[in-house]
Amino acid sequence: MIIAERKPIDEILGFLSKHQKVLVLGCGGCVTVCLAGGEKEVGILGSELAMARSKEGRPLEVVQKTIERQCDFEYLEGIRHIVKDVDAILSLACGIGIQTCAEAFPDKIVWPGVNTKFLGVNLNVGVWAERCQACGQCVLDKTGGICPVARCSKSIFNGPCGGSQNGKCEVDPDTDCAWALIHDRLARLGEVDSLREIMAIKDWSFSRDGGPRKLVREDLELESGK
Amino acid sequence: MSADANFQPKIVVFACENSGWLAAEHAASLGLSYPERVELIKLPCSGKIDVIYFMKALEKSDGTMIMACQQENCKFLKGNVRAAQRVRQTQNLLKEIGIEEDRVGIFYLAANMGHKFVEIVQNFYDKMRELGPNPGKVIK
Amino acid sequence: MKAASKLQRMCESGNFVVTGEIGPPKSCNGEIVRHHAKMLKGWCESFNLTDNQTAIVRLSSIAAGKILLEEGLEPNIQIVCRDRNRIAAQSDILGASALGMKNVLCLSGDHQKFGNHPTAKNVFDVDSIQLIQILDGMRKGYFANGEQMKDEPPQLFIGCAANPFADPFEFRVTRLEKKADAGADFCQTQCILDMERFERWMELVRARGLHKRIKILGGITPIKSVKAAKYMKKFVAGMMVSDDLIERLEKAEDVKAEGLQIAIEQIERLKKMEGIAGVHIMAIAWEEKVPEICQRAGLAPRPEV
Repeated sequence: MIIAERKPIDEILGFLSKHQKVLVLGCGGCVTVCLAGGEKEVGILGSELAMARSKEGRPLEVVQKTIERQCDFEYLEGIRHIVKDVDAILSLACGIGIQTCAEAFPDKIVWPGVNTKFLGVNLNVGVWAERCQACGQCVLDKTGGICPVARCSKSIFNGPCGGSQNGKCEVDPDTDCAWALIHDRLARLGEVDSLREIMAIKDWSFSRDGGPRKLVREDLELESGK
Repeated sequence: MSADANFQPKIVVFACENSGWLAAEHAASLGLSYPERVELIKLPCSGKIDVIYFMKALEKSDGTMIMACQQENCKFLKGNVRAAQRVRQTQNLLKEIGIEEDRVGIFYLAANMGHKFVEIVQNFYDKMRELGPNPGKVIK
Repeated sequence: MKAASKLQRMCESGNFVVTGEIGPPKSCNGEIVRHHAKMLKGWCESFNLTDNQTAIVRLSSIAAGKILLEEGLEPNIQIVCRDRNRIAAQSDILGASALGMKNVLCLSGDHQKFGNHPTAKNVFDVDSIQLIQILDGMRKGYFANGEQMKDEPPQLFIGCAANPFADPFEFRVTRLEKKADAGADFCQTQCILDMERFERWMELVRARGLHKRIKILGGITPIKSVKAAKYMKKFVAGMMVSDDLIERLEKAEDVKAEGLQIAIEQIERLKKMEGIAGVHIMAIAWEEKVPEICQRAGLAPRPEV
């Protein structure tokens, strides 16, 4: 899941300072699950914004709406009539949703209401951790299902480095050393000897380093190309 | 002290149906009275309260509170603990936008405490009178 | 092609090897490097030049290496994966080689969080073991992409680090083995402040015959104060300091003298340890004591090879 965190209220108030009527737009996908930009967060932020502006004596009309997914154009189509009447949109979707929203409404200012943090997992109520970096060429087969790219502070492929102690990473004592996890898991599975082999240098061209990525599956494409 | 001596705060009281709500009924049966501009909303448990309800309440009122069962005495075990946490979360939001955090609170009582109910409401009402109108009120 | 550096010749001669370390300054003042070079000349075979150590911006290791060459010392260029991708790393190696530098030590590099630019983006295109592989390929005439060089390949003597004090303990030996497999010729260990653990690690190293495949230089750091020892024990990840050592320092009347004495005793012990090819002396901010340590530990004068 994509993990996001709401931006500080002052930053958002700054974005909206010149507007009188905004649409606070939530998303029913990842940001709902990670409690950053779902219907409830839209409601809370809506109240916060309205009250803050009321207090300043410059009322802000807040329209609140949460759609199924902001990363799909078809759901954005459904709110065109609402968007028409507002000065700007404050999107609480992840970076993808915010951009899709901006693309769907080219004549409308779209402000980001969250910081998109990482691809991760919910470990506990209020606790999320990174798990994947979308490097484009998965190596989990070699690393016992634990990703060194996303979870090792140095993304090394032949760890653990000399800073691993008591299973923790030198960069942050609260972070598990990914390579200690990999080592221990493979040991449990009786596969630790596989780590004696050197993992070759990675082809980063499948990652962001190859430029913005695009996936085309011709088998799925329709005649119209849309 | 509020500049306006005639200021009558509007207050939204969320009440757990196992304590606050029954205490209100008890107060009524005793013929006790409390300020007029107090809206009572019944919840199945104080744990049902959420930041969003407090915030929506504050859009149209001067103060809001949750009446919960005595500590360690929640029918659903942790409802009142969660309620206290949500009060703190709401207070943090208010602080962020420069609104007095005392405008939201949690109070504990039992079903048979009609007098206590009135005392809590009256004290909170007086406190809101002292604070003056909620500067962030949206629906006036 | 191997380098035929003095360090390599010493390693192959069977003599006990001594390397030192010079940290370049946080300025462009090459005279500071020159000053240390003059002070340390002749006491070690080769001197490591740290590469933006602890992720603090410093005069480049290759530039400092050039100053050492001018002063007649042999540099050992440290190169970290934190700041360079495979393109920059290979380019730097070609450059260093063109300037006459032959020893290169490959490291992952301290995370930038610990340095003075914690908001920097790191690189880590390759890790230290992969970097060793790349350098080994280069000295055989190939770039990392497999392309053959059209000209003379660089002559390199490739080093790596090993940390017997990090975890998981047994795997530290496997990691050294991987570095040897990748092509490393020598290894310098993290500074030894817990000799017992180091000996246990060496037992495992010998059991796998690794000491016959890679020259192991034990890391020596003289400790200046009890506070420093305690700090390293408690706060530096991948560092172990034995209680005995701390106790000895605490009881000492002259802590600095005792620190030096411990370092000297450690060298004596390493000299006798099977599989140890030499020592790497890291007298951090105490470089002026290197001659005394070498002299008292019977490491002077250095043999000619």
